[in-house]
Amino acid sequence: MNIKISHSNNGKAQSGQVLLIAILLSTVLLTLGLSLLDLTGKDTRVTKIQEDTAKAQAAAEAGIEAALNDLNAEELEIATILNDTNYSGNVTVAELTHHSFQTPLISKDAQYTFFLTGYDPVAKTITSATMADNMVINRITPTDSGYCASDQAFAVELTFLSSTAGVVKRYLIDECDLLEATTDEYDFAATIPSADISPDPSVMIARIIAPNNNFDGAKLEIVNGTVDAEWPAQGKTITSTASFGESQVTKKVQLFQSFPQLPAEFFVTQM
Amino acid sequence: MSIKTVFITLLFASIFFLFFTAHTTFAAACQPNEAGIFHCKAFTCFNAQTGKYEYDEHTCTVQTVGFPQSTCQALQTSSSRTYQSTALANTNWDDIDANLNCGTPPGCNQGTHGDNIPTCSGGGGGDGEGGGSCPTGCNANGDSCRATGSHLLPPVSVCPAQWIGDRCNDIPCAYRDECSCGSCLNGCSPSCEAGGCVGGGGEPTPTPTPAPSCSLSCPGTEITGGNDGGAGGGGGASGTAGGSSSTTYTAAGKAEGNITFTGINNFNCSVFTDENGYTGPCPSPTIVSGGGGGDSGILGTWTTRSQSSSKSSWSGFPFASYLSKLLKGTGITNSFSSVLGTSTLLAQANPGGGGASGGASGGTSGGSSTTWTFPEDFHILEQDQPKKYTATAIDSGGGASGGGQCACAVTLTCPETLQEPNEPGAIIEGCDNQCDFTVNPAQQHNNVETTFELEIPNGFDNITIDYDDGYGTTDSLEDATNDSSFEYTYRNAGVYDVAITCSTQPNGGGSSRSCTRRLTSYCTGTNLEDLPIGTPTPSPTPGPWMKVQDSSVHIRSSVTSSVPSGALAFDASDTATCSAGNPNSLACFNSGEAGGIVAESSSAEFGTEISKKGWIRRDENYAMNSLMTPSSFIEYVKARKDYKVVTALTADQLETNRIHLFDPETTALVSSDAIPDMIPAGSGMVIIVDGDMTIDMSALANQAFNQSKKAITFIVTGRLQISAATTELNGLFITNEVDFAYDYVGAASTPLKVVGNMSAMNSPLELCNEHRARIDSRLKPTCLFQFDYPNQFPPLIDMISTKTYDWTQLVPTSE
Repeated sequence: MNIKISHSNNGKAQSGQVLLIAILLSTVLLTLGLSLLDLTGKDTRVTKIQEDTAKAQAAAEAGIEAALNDLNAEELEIATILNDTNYSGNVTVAELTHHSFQTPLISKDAQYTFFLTGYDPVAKTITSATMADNMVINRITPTDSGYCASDQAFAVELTFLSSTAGVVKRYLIDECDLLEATTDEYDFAATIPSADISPDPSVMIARIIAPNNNFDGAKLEIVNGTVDAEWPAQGKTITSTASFGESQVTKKVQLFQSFPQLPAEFFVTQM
Repeated sequence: MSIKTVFITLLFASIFFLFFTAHTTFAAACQPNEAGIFHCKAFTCFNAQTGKYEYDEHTCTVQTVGFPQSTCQALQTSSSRTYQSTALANTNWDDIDANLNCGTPPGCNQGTHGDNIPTCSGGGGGDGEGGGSCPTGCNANGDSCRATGSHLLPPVSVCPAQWIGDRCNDIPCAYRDECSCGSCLNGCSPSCEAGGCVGGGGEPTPTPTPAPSCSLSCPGTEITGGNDGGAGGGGGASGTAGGSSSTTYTAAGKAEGNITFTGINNFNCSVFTDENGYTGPCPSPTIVSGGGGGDSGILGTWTTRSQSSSKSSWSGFPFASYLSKLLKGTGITNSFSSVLGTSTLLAQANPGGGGASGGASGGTSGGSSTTWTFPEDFHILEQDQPKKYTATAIDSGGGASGGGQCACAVTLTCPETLQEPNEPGAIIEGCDNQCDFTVNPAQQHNNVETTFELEIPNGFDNITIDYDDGYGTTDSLEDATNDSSFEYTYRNAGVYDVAITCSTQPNGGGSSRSCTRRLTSYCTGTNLEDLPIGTPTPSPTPGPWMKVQDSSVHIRSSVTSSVPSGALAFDASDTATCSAGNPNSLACFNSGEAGGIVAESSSAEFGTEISKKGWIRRDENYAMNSLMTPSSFIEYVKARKDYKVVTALTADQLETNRIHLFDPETTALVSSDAIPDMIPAGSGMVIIVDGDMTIDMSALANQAFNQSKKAITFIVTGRLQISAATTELNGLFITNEVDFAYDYVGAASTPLKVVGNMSAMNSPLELCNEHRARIDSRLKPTCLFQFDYPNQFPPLIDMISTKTYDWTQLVPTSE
C-alpha cells in the first residue's frame, strides 16, 4: 500500500496516522488480552488439579491413619472413611511374608527386632514355632565397599532369643575389625546354619555398633537360607489409594509399620 | 422285623454309639482356650512293629490357668496329680518336656518327667539322663529302653531339627531314615534297626572315647583348661599326654592360685604327696570318668583354692578347700565341695562310681567316698624345712587310654622378710578411721598370742573378726569400745589376712564397714632380728568387681573391674561359663552368651578374661547414641500407647498388663513386693516414674525385690536410688541415672544382683563395684547383672517397644 502524504492536506494525513496507530494498539491490546485470558483459564485448571491432587493425597494419608487405628482392618473404603462420595479408592492392610526382608535404616547404636517365628499383633505375643531355616545377612547400605575405611564403618551384633531358653546364641559381623573378638564371627553374605542358632530362637536382634558419630545408618537384608522359604511377616503393609473430583487425580501411598521394636537402650546393659 | 428294619436300627445305634463315645482329642497339644476332658497324647513309645515312636492316648482333664492363656494344667485322671505345663498353644507337650504324665503305657520306658519313677538305663544308651535299672517289662515287651530327656515327636518325613548333624547312634531309630542314617553312615548301629531291647535293654550307645589327656597346673602356672600335653608323664599305648609344673614360694608361706586337674577318659587323680612322708589319694575326686549312656564322656575337675584371700598357708594344716564339679554332656548334674579342715578328714563325694560300674550302659552317677587323713601336726612349717606338695594325675590305664601322668608341685618355705602389719601397705581392704585395728606384737612366731586392738571411735561398735586361720575361726563383740581387743594364737607360720567388720547393729546389721590387714606369723627357729625388712606386699586381694551374664554392655565411664583368677560364683545362680574350653570357668566379666562390650574409655580394665567371645571395644571417643531415653519414651507413650496416670504406686491404682505414668511429688518409694505380688504369672506391668525413685528392701528378710521374677519394668526419668541393704532386684530397670547404694558413703559391704536388665543413660557417680564391696569374699563378684529375657521381655514386648514406619509414595497404576 502506498501512502501519499500531502503537505497541502496536513490535517487529514495526521488523522490517518492516528487511526493506524489506534488500530495497531488495539491489535496489540487484543492479543495481550486474549493471551491473558488464556493464561487465566489454564491457571484455573492447574489450580483445580492441584487442589484435587492435594485432596487425593490427604485422603490417601487419612486412609493410612484409619487403618493404623483399626487393629482388625483388612480393607477400607476411602469414601466411607471420609464420609464423602466425592472421594474414591480404598485401603488394604496386609501382613506380607518375605524370602528376604530389608530392614529400615538402623542408626548408630540402635537395633532392629526381627521375628523369626512371627508375631501376633492382636494377641501381642511372639509366635511359638520351630525355626529351622538357615540365614544370610547382607549389607544394603552403606553401599561403598570401602566403608570400613570411612566414617561409615560399623559392626552388627546378632542376638538370637528364645522365649524359654533366653539368649540362645550371639554372633558378630565385624568386617571392619572394630571389636576385639576371638570367636563366633560371620561375614556379610555368609550362611548362618540353623544348627548354629538352635535351640528354637523366635527373635533375632540386629544391633549396630558404629564408632563414628557421622555414621549414617545401615540397612540390612535378612535372607531366608532355605530355597522358597519365607520369613513370617515383620509388620503391616498398608496401601492406600485415593481419587478426588472430576479430574480423578489418584494418589497412592504405602506405609510399612513394623511389629514391636525393642529399643537398644532397654536391651543393652548400660552404666 | 424285617431285615431293612434291623439294618436301619443298627445304623442308628452305630451313630448313637459313635456320638456318645467320641472324645475330643487333645492331639498332644495344649489348647489354652479350651478346657475340659481330653484325650492327651503323652509319652513316646517305641513300637517294635512299626519301628516308630508313637504317642499313647490317655484321658486328662485340662484346665486353663494364668494369663495370657498360654499355660495349661493337666490333671491326670487316675491319680489326680497335677502337672503344669508351660506349653504354648499348639505345641506338643512332650516336645517341651511338659511334665505331663497321663499314665505310663505298659511296656514303655517310664520317662520320669520329673517324677521319681525309675528311669531307664543299663541299655539303650539313652538320649539324656539315665540311671538306675531298666524298668520291668521293657525287655519283655521288646520296647526300646529310653532314658528321659528328649521326648520325641511322632515320625515326620524330615529329620527333626534337634537331630540334624548328630551321630546316628544318638538318633532314635524312628528317625534314622529321615536323618540319612539308613545306610548306617556316621556310626549307625545296625542292631538298633532290629528294634527292641537287646540283651538287657536295647542297644547301648557307646560312650565316645575322646583322646585321653590330662593337665595339671600349680599356683602361678594356671591354665585355662583343656589338654596340656608336654613333658613328663606319657606312656601308655595311646600316648597319653602329660605335663608338669612346679612353683616354689620362698618369700612367705603363702601360695595363691589353683591347682587344677582336668582329665578326660579314665583319668584319676590318684596320688597326692607332700614329699615329707605323706602319700595318699588325691583330695577329690579320685575318679573322673565313668557314666555312659548318651553322654559324650565326663569331664571332671577338681580345684583347690588353696591360699587366696581367706586361706593362708600351704604349710601346716591343710587349709585348702577343694571344690569339684562333675559335668555331663547335658549340663551339671552333680556338684559338691569338700574341705580340708581341722577335722583332718577329707570327706568327699565321689562322682562317677556308678558310671564306672554301669559301663557303657548308661548308668547315672553313683557315689562312693574316700577319707583322707592328714596328720595334724605333721605339716607345721619350720625353719629350714620347706614343705613340698606334689599332686599327680595318673591315668588309670583303663580302656585304650594307656598310662600316663601329669603333675605339679608347690614348695613352701618360711617367711624370710619382716612384714609390718600396722602400716598402710598391709591393708588389704577398707580400714578407715571408723573401722581399723592394730596388731600387737607386730611380728611374732607361731604359737605366740597376738592381740588385735580395735580402733572404732564412732558408732560402729559391733565387731566381728575373722582370723583367716583356715578353720573359719571368728569372734565377735557387741558394744565394743575403742580400746577393746581380741586375742588369738596362730599355731602355724604363714600369712594371714585378718578381717574385721564394724557395724552399727549386732550381727552385721545397720551400716557397716570393714578392714582387712595382712600379718605374718614366722616359723619357730627364725631369728626375727636377722630378717631383712620386707617391702609392703602389694595387695593381692582383688578389688570389688562386677560381672554380667548373657548381655551386651555399654559403659560410659572409665572402669576398673578386674576379675581375679580363681573367681568364684556370685551365688548358686552364677553358673554360666566364661570359657569355651573350660565349662567350669567363672572368671570373666561377661559370662554365658556374652554380647559385645563397648567401653568409652581406652583404659577400661576387666582383668584377663572378658568373655568367652572376647568381643570388646575400648574407645574413649565413642559416644553412645541414645535415641530412646526414659524422657523420650514418655513422649512416645503419650503419643502412641495406651497408658494410665496414677498418683501412687498402690494396688488400687495399678493394673496388670498396663503402662502406668507416675509423677511423684517427692521420690517414689518401693519397699516391698506388693507390686509384683499383684501380677499374675505370665502377665506384666510397666511403671514410668517421671522423677526419682528409691528401692529399699531392707525391711524384707531376703532384702530382695521381686524374687518371684514377675515381669515388671520401671522406667525412671530421674535417678534410681538403691539402698545399700538391698541385695537383689528382679525386673527391667531403665533409668536416667542410678545410685547403687544411695544411703551409704563409701563402699557398702553388701553385694547386689540384678536379674533382668539395668540400663542407665548416664554414667553413675560410682559404678556398682565402686559403691559396693562385698566382704565375704573378693573372689566373688560384688555386683552381678544377669540378663533375663524369658521372664522380663516377652510378656512386656508390646508395652516397652516402639514401632518403625517406612513411608513410600507409589505411582498409581491403572487397573
